[in-house]
Amino acid sequence: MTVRQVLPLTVAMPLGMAAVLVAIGHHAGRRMSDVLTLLAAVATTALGCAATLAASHQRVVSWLAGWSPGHDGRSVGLLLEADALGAGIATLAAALTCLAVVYGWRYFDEIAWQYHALLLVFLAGMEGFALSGDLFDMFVFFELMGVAGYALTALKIEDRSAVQGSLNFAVVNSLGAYFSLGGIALLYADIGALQLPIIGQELRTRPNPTSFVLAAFVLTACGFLVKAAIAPFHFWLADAHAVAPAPVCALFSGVMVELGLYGVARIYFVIFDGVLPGAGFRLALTVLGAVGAVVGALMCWQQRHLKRLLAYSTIAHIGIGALTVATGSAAAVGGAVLYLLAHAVVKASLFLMVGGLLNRYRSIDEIALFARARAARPLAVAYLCGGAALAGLPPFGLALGKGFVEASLDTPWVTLLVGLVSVVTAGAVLRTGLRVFLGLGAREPAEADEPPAKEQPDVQRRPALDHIGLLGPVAVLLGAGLLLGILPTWSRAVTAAGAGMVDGIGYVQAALGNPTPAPSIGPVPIWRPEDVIVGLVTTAAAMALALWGARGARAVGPRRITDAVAWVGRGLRAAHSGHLGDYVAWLLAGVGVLGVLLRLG
Amino acid sequence: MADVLMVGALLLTAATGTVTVLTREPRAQLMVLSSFGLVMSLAFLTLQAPDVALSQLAVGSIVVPLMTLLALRVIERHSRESPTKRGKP
Amino acid sequence: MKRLRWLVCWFGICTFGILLIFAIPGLPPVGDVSHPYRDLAVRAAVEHATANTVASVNFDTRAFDTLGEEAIFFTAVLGAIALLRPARHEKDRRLPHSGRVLASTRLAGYVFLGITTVVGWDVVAHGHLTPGGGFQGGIVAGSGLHLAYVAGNYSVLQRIRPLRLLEIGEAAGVVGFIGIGLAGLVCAGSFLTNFVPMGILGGFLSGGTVALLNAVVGLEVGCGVVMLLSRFLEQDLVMT
Repeated sequence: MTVRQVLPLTVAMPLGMAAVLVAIGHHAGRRMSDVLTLLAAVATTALGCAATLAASHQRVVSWLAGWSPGHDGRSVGLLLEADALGAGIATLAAALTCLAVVYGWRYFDEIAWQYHALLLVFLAGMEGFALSGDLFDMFVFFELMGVAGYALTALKIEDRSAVQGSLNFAVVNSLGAYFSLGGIALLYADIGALQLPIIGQELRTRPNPTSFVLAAFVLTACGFLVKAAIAPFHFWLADAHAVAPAPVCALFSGVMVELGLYGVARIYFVIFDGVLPGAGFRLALTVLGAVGAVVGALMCWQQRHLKRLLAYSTIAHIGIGALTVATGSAAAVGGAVLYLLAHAVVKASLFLMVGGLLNRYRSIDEIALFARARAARPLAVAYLCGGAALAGLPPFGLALGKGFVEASLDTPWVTLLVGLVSVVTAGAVLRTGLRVFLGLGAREPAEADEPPAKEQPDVQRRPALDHIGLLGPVAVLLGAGLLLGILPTWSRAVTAAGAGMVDGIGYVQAALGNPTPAPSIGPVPIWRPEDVIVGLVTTAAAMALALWGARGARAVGPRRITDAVAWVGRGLRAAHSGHLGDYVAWLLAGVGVLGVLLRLG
Repeated sequence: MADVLMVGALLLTAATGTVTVLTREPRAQLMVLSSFGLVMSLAFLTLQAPDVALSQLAVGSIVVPLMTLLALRVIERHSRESPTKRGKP
Repeated sequence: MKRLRWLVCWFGICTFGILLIFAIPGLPPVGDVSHPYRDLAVRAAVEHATANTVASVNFDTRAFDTLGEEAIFFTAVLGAIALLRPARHEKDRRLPHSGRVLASTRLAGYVFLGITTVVGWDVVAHGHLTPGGGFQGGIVAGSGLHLAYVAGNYSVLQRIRPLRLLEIGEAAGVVGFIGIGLAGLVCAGSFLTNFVPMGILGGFLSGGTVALLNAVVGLEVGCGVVMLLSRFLEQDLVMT
């Protein structure tokens, strides 16, 4: 058996195990269900590792059911194609699922097997989406991820807001999926093929009316942009993250959102690169990414609900990722992948910690939790480390990736924006850490117009905060974030994987039987002195901001400016209303804005 | 001839779709939704896709309306039994 | 706020419309003579002795895709069952009292129960030959079972609907699909390869794994629909 042959098992294995759990779940008992789930997740991780190793030398192409393309380059079959990035993300998804299972060892006692089966199906969806080389298959696995995700989000049925959050998630995502399906239909109607490489090949070898490729791209990308939570498609994300169980949040923020951006980049580089006016693509993704980064950062600062706060920080960071992908530069995309991967593991660890707080103290509200976790020393250290890593503290991988992006782009405003986002989002996280774990600042009364953030805990018991099931996964994740910055082999491999994504023609040729070796690594990320300095400065700034926030965020500066800032904050909060109609309207407007920006470029 | 049928079926789909959206009373909307499913399956038939038409018939005009009807009944009973608990989640 | 929402919405709808108006005229006309994928798909279907080309696409050339779709259905049922579980305050249950049913309704119900069940499984069994297949037939057979409730009462439905068994059947449908795929991997070197003897085009035993995959999908969907509707019915009828 070669890696090429077993590649489909990354999907089949977790899916099959989910079905087994459904069949025997009633009789199997809690422990059995835990063990079987972990087994499937570990096996998928191992398979993912093997695929990643193979793909880092050469893309692994697996035409399924023996329908490989004939000499005319056409095929009726479909394929999985693993390049280093796709296989790497598939491995990350499986590894995070392992940690989620370990962390949630005692979750949902009554319906443990259903929870586990949903987790495994969710994993199968992510694997399929990351590895698929077929446009319609991407859509199918997108939907599979979605369906499992909606159910996981709403699993705490006694909590009405869980059902509401899941509904917002489901409606917005499904609507995005319909647009994607429309785009796929357009491409299929014109070309008569669904495989990414064949579509890419066809589009590049003939003249295409701009209006057609433009519409096809806007529609196809729409669903993936919703998943990626790029503004203005991002509204569902905070609602879903706020209510989903903590390990599920870790998977959402750690892989699913990144997969959305991965999908956009995949279809752009394989199908539309050189076909769509490049300037338009750059403009569109830069603008939307920058808006998302700013909106996410500002909303993040204003939250008291810890999971919501982390969710908005994810929106901000993925916005940065989007505007980096927009440049299309291999080095910058490589840097962005390193940055987003380091962000993913750190953010996942923060979600797990916040979930621990919720289960222990039955609250997720920054004010209500004030000084309550003072005894939990190890967790406090981990939480503040996570916050500092988000701020760009060397030697965490985030700072390295960020520095590499900045070095390869060399545009001052991007550097400024990235710095700003890091400071504000990390400042917010550190602020909550200072308040909850250290009891710093004043215990202020909750504002009258804002009820405290309430949420059902994930479990009935109150597990201690030094429990190995919590600290273990957190340590592993933070450690991974650290190693990404320290080990040159790791950071180099990740950057090379990201840079390989840009090579769409190589992807096409590999699928059609003309494999090219993975592109040679250009510049590699190294710790430049200025990166270290910038990292230390942003961390210090974030810490200062956090202290200022913890002490009540008293206004400083001219009255007119503070008033304006407050007005903007209120406006943004009003726009994130939780009203489904608003979200749908913004999604439609997003389609329009995307089209207009692509046209303008 | 086939073109006329196809255009007719598409127009009918658009019309029933619009009526479904504009019907505001949930139970009436369900009935319209069910007939929308039926019209859709006819449209698929004129497009020479009998497989899809069959799926659409089974799902669109039977299972989805039935599920929605049951869900509606539960909601109505809940709001009847505990009117105080209603309101924004 | 409401006006702003509509403004934003209409902007989106209008630009979306403009996008489509400019894009669609460039597409090839409906029913065009040349269609590369159609030609390939028909050839592939005939090669594997599958009379229904759609079934060949679904269960042979793009079978992996169908595995994903089957998984979506499986997950939807699983999710609905998990979410519609009795909440902590909903533990007490009652059996619904049976209403009065007209004799003619009862008769029609039982007659159609038989007919739909036969038609449903017939559609599944001939999926590789005629339009329809596991998904369509499964839905028809599964939802047709509920005519027993229309004709009789809830306890009749409960008797012909062993939920535990159906749950296992549903899971077996997914495991079976994957198992057939694995057999293809082992016997022919690629996941989901159509590796069994193909038979003669048009014969009942033809199409190789197409017929087998059709059957397991029929099993999955048929069981799944009953499971799904059972939870909705239970919410409506049994719980207080």
